[in-house]
Amino acid sequence: MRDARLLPKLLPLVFALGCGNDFTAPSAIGGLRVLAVQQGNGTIMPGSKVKLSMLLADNRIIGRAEGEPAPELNVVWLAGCNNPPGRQYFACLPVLRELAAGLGDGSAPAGTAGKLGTGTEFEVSIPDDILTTAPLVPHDPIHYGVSYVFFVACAGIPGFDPSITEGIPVTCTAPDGKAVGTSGMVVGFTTLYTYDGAANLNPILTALDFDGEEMPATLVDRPATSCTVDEDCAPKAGQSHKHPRICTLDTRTCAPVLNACSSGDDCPEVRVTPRIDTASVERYTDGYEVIWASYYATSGAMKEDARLVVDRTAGLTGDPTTLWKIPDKRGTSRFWVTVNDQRGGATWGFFDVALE
Amino acid sequence: MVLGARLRLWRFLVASVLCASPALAQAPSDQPSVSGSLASSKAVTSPELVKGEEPEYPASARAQRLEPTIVLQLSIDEQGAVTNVEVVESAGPAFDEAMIAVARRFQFEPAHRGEKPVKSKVLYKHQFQAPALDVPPAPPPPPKLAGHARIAETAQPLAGARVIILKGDKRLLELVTDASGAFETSALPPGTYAVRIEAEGFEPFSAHEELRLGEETGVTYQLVAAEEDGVATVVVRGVRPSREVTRRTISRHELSRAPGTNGDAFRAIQNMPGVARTPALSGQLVVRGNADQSTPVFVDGLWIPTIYHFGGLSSVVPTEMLDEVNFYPGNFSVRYGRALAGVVDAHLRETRADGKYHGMGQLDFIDARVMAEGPIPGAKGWHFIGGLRRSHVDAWLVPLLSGNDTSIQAAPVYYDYQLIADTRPTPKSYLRIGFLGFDDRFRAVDSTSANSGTIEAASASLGLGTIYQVTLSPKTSAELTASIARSHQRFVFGNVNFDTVATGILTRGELAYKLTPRATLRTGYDILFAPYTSTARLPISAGSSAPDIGGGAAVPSRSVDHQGTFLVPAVYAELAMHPGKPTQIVSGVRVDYSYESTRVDVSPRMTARYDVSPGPRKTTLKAGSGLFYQQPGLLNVLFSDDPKKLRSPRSWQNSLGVEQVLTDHLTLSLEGFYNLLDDLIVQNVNQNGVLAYSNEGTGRIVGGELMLRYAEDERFFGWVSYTLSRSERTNGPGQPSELFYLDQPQILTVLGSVMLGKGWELGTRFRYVTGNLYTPCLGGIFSSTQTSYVCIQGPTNSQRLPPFHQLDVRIDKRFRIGEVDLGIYLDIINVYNRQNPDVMAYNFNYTQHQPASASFPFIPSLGVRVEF
Repeated sequence: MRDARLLPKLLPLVFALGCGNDFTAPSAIGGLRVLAVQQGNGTIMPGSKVKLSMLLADNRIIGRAEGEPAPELNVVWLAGCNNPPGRQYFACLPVLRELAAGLGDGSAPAGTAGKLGTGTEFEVSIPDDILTTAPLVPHDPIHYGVSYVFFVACAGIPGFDPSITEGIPVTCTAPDGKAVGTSGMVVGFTTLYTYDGAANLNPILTALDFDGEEMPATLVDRPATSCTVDEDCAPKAGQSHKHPRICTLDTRTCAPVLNACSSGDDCPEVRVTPRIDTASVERYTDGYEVIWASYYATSGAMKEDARLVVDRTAGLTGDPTTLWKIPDKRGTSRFWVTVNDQRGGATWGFFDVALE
Repeated sequence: MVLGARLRLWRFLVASVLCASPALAQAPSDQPSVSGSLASSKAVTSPELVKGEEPEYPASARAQRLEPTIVLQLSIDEQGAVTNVEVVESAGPAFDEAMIAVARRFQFEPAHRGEKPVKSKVLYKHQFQAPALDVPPAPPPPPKLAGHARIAETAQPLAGARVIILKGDKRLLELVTDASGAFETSALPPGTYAVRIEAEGFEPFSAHEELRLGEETGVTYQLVAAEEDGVATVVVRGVRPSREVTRRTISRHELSRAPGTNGDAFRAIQNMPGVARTPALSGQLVVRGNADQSTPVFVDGLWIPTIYHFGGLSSVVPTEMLDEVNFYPGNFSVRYGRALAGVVDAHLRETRADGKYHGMGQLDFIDARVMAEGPIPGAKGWHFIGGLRRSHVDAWLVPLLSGNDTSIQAAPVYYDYQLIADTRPTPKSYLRIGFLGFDDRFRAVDSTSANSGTIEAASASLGLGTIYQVTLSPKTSAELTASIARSHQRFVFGNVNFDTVATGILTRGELAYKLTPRATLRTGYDILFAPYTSTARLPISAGSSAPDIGGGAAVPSRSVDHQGTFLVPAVYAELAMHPGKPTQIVSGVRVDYSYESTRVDVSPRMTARYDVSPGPRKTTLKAGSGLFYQQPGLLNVLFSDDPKKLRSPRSWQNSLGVEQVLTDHLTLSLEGFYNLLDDLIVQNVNQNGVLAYSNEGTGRIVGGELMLRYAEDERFFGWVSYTLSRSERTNGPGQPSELFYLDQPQILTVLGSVMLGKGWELGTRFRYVTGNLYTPCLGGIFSSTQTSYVCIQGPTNSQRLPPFHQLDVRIDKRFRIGEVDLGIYLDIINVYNRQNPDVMAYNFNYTQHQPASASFPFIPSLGVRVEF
């Protein structure tokens, strides 16, 4: 199915498979999820150090009581795979296996060129020779090197299991000794492209709107204004809010209050819209860098889990709004919106909504 | 009134249209034949009119004293009764009505094949005579016998044939046909005579003719080349000499009536043995476990790169313009090349040369089409046929796709148009010039997912082609075709882009020379010259069996902007020999050259047939072996780091089978095949650590096919086809052999169509196919750059989806209103609405899965057709 000649044949399949299924929607946060990894400011140079920041979603922490301890959560990074054969992530598995063996003591095993790290942020060093050791590939629009950094997000203790020969040989064990399932463990990777002399910037998210109003959202570089009591969330003089706002208990940010809905398909839908700085849209000689937005929430259903913001051919596609159907579940619902581009760029924001 | 001296008619007993049911019945066979027992000089005897009436002269025409001529085609059963009357050449409604009325009551001595009466068809010509005036009648002229001799395979005139007229055993007269194949004599007294036609290289033919005072008896005899196993075959025009192990021919009626195909000729091929099921709307032809695009389609010998309109809904050449479609699932003649699997060879029909204008209009669920046919005013001997078709899928698909977030910028529509003119410049030649074109377009911008975006598919082609056939001598004939076409293919889907404009010049020629009565040499050339301009942008892909790397925008792309030329000339030679009557051996060699790779591919091929038990229920063994090459595809060339390094993938095809004629209509064919493939183009990581195309792929295909076919007659046609096969691939040295993703071990098709009478026809098709293969995902790994999970693959193609099965039904009703034929049909696809799975779908992190369908749901398609 990977033969390029098959691509045109996929078109009717795309239409046909657009029909419904019974799957859990990707936008529904039902456990621990990794939503995005930002790679510094986007542009990666040979020999540079790149700060990786991870956006996690964990519905265990949403709406928890004040003072309640945070659940177990560990993030491990494994770096050291550069320019693998065919530029493909699975060619890193031998290196990854060596690195994973060091998960017990938290450092890369002796003799390996890799690096281990923990936490939602991690700094990786790009080799000086990342471009010179990258093979020249015919038909590449620009010469580039590739680095892969793997990570494990675990609602428990991550570990190494040498018996796993297919895939990533890491485990996640709960404090009670039981293996954590896929709802509490994410294994993934992020791909870092070092382009020869080309800038590569992150898309810029300026605000998040909910039902037509700008939310007091937390963005990558701009935390939301904190509150201590509900009165802090009242509209300023001369302003009004479509929905009254309260101060949430866990993040101490203002959240609009809506009524939960038990009418199923007849429940109203609310618009969720990312505002993107169109100046951050990058152009190629033959079109635009693709940008898309992904939506997540701990309750309710999104009409679309993702929306294309910039098309490769047509550029900006218009209003990247999705619709969120108000659920029956009372409590705090958190919304995340991530915005990514096709060369690894990422940004995000999130806010809470209170359902009564 | 019993036919008497006053009755003046010309009778055309045309042996070529004798139904001789086995001839049609054995369409799947390579050698249509009546029977082995007729292989000697006895041949076929024509039906004799023994009882009939003269038609009444219409009162409405008495004043004008018209004397028009009418030609009918009469279908005669084994008892000599007329079962069907069709007007071939009209004399006008009143005259036609009078003639048809009496013709239905004619009684014949039936045609015989040996001793056995058989069904037949005759052309019956009658000239009306105005009622006599009150003047003394002139003495009647002497009887006259006039006719033509033609070559059965081509309908071309047969010059130099001896026409021997006997009375009992006494040879009375011998004539020789002229350059146009004509002969005539008025030197015989009234009576019944035996007429025997002989020509070197052809089987002799005999008939009995009754000559009457004052009448001219017109006849046309068609002789069959002796190489056809020496069998006095009764053939229809278009039947070609056997050069392949297996040829499956679908007649025009079968093409247009096959249930579930909406009357589309090329979709009907998908009911043949060895043809795999492909997802609905994909429009591919997958034959004997090979890849798609390995079975090219030729129309009159010219390659048609895109045979289906958008999504495979319909083919670009309307069924109404086709005479027949031959499908060769493998081991085909060296005449064809650049194909690794099989060949589809369709033939356009000759225009009707009856001097009248005809028209056709059809409207159904998918499209609407019109067609016109007739003589070209001011161009004597030239006739034309032209057609235009437009889909109206947009009428229902646009509302389906239109929404707040999808912008339909061009409706998914297709057109095709044809204008063909033909003539016989000389009695020995045939010339056709055709103008064919099609245009498919669809464009939308979808922003409802991360991997969506601009969706655009456009395909257009406009071409001019000509075919010239000539008989240079009784031993030599030639055919020359040439075409020039400009085509544009464009596909955009998000980050994927492919746009190619090519101007293709294709010419073929073949010269056939009969070395001896039992050996014919054919030589030919086949040249494709196609300068092209291509731009393409494709995401990098993993190796053929490598784990999934995900897709969409976040996978880096490669891009090309390339101008190049495809120049692939080929020459071939083929010798067809009949060392003995039951044996036929065809051996040949084809040499292809690729300008791109500067490589030469040599393809020796051989097929053999042997009649184990001749006779009406003959048993034929057949076998074939040969090499087949297919040049690398355009994308392989575009994205190869060095196209000159790419060789043509090769298949060594072997087959062995048997055909058994069970009854006059029923034939059983069994065939096994074993194909070894090498030099297949795959993507693997090379020594530089780069994914690159190479010829490291190999494959093995083994299987068997069964076909039990009831050849079309007045009541029924149908077949049961079953294929059992296994197709494997290896993606490089040291790599394991895996099932090919299109491997479908069992394919069963049961198809039948019965004429119920009074214009009603009911057809049904049932298909069962083993479920599609898929590679299971053992879980997912999250790619943050794609914001999606990537499948962690299990063993490649190690799982199967549930089987496919589907029932289709077609109902036709035809009316005759004066000169107009009106037809209404209902083609119901997937009657019991089976949700046939096409792929295994997974949720976002590969923890849930369920089969998903892209096939047709229950679709009733109603159509109406008017023809005159």
